[in-house]
Amino acid sequence: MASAGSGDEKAAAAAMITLISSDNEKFEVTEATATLSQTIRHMIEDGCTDGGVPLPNVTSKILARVIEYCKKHATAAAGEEGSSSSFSDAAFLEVDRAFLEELEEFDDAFLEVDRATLFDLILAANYLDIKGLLNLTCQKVADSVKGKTPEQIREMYNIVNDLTPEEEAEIRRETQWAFE
Amino acid sequence: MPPPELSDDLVGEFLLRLPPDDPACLLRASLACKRWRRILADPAFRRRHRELHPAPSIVGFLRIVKGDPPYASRFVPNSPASNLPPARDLPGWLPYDCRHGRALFLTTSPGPGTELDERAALLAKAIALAPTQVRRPPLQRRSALRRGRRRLRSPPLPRGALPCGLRLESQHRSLPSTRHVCLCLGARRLSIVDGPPPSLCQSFVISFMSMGDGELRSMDVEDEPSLCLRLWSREAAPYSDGVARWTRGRAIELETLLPDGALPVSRVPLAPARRIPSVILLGFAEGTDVIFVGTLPRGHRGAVYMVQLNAGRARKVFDKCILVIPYTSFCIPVTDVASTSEGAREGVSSA
Repeated sequence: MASAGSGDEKAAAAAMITLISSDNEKFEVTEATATLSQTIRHMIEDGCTDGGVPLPNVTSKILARVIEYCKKHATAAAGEEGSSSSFSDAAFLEVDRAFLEELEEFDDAFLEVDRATLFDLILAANYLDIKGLLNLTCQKVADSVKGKTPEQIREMYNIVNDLTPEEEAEIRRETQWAFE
Repeated sequence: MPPPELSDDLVGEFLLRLPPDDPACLLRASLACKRWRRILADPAFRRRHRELHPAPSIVGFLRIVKGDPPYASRFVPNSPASNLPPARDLPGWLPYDCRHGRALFLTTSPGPGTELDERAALLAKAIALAPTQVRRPPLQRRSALRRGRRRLRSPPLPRGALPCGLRLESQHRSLPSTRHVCLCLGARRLSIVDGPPPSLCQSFVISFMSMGDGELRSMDVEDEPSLCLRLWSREAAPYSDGVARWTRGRAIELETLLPDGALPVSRVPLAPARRIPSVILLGFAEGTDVIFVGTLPRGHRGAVYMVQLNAGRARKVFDKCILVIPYTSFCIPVTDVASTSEGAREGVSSA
């Protein structure tokens, strides 16, 4: 589908899909945007998207953000396809580079959310099977954990420490270098 | 608002993205709660972490400070920027090998009655590697192992992470020196494999190495017509009888690889029996293309170079030619008895 000719691409771009959030809000998106989600792509391929795609695990607040991500990255994917078929002279490379930078800036801004939203995005990315978004959000959490003490990690992510004081003391003694 | 609950899979998904070159952050995360620790200690997680970060970083080295009894070794971090302490000495411990976050030490000189398969079994039961997990030097190896097994319920060694060579062959009298013992951890069996044909300059051969593609490789130093590293690989495919043979692979010129002045200016040709190698192979990092080369110019202390074979780059790591054993990971022993039962202990004892 992604490798279809330009005529098919236009037709695909024109086709609209309705996504329905858990709180019953409807979102009209292009098929190109929606198919960044493998889950929705499979539904489209199976022809069961008439009357809208209900997404009972995703709230309207999170779905709006997910769609924002997909729109941007669907354009990026289309742009990449366009440029790869043409010969890559300096001008094209320059455009590509600028576009990638813009995409990176978008991703950075996109991730400026509170931790609850970040986790909601992970859940949605997993449910909708959007690899890029799952990677992006998980990397963000990993980056936030990096360099933090266990106490800071627990506080950030509301984790209850269920290690006994003896266990914790023993691990800390054994691997003291990691906590210096 | 508290963050929503994530499944173990999704917690694992972001923990997988913790950088492998800073194992301290994996260890700190393992102290957040029992669940995170269980996920991080799971062999499946370790496997995926290796897959996601296919080229393991060299976290540090175990270098020998004193090679005669009583031995002494030292932990040295590879990157000065890492959180590891600059050096941690292990008086009385001689490193043998490091694999999968564990190190094998010898704590007394090998006794005359030490059998080969007993030593091979040691690797499978080796002590978990983390600088301060190593306790006071025990009086003899057996007690070290028992203590290690009791105190640290280490996860079993990953299956299929092979082939894995042992560098024990030369110490054993009952085996010809050109044969090697191969311990297949995945299949849990020992087999004898012929080594590659000896080259002109029989230096300290790296018996077996795996560069992450599962193929058995070996390396040697050749000095004719010029000093170079020779790669051998053991291939079954090209032969109709299906028997694996050693194939002579590419050579890497040492003159161009090492910086100026690392090698002696002129080498006097000597009869093979009298030849003193000016370059020796010291070791390699499992699953990587990194090997360690020691130079021994006459009248100097020499140096140890870390060589990236594929990139053809070399970096000096020590100003003295000493045995170094690199390590690429740490293991996170499970503390929760209920979640490990006896499986982890029994799973590795069948070598």
